[in-house]
Amino acid sequence: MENMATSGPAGTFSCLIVDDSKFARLNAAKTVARIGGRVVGEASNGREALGLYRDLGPDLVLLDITMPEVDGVQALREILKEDGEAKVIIVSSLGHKEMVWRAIGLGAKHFITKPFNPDHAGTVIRSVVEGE
Amino acid sequence: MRYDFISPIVKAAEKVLDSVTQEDIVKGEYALKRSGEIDYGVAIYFKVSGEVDGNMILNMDSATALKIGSLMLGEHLEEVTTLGLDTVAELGNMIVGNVISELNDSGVDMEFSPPLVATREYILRKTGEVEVFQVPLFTSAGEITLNAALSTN
Repeated sequence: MENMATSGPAGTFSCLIVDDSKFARLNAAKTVARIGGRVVGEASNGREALGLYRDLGPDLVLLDITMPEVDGVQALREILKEDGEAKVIIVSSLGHKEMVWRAIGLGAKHFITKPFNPDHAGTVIRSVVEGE
Repeated sequence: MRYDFISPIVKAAEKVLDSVTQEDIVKGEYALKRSGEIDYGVAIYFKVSGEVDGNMILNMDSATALKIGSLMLGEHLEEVTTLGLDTVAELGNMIVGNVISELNDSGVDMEFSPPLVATREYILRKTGEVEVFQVPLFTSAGEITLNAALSTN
């Protein structure tokens, strides 16, 4: 697992990115940095995600829904059990609607589909971080 | 093979590639082949399950994988690295995700596995000898082929 901050300017919110695809994590990090956020950690599966959430206490989690070992729905359950106020946005390619709706039902705040539309993703992230 | 899936498959693949490459994609001639006849090159494998069973595979040659990876990452890749393969796998994830979403919207209940970068041997072991529908899609990075072997349960 990685524990890092992006090299950009300090942002208004801290973010943990969870995705088994390094490309997807890079893409998400660019979007977060673009709107002034700061990536404080990255995880490639749900098990790593819970550990990092506990250690870092990020303002926001961007959570992929399909991952090996512990998937996004299970990771979401664990994070919310740890912190009922956690702000989690589900990230998913299309074709996983049921899982996405299940995650929303469990308490995820919003979802973003891949491929990212940077403007839309930025708007969703902002709205969740600011509690709109 | 469910031939009524061909149109949503092609539509979804074109949509994602248009978005990723920011250019118009040219469709090649559809083909039907036996799985053993296909030289998969760099292949991303997806298992499909639900009302419809089978698999979908996105494949391309190494040069195309390099170019597509470079395009998506916004940096020049000198060789096919783990990151490059991961990037191409994510492209496959988005394409197949769109395909499944289109089919789900038309009332077909199905889901797909996470992408797997696979060898030809692995693919043949998983699929057996089946009929595969192929759509070649031509981009400025090279040819990307979507292979589908889907049948109703």
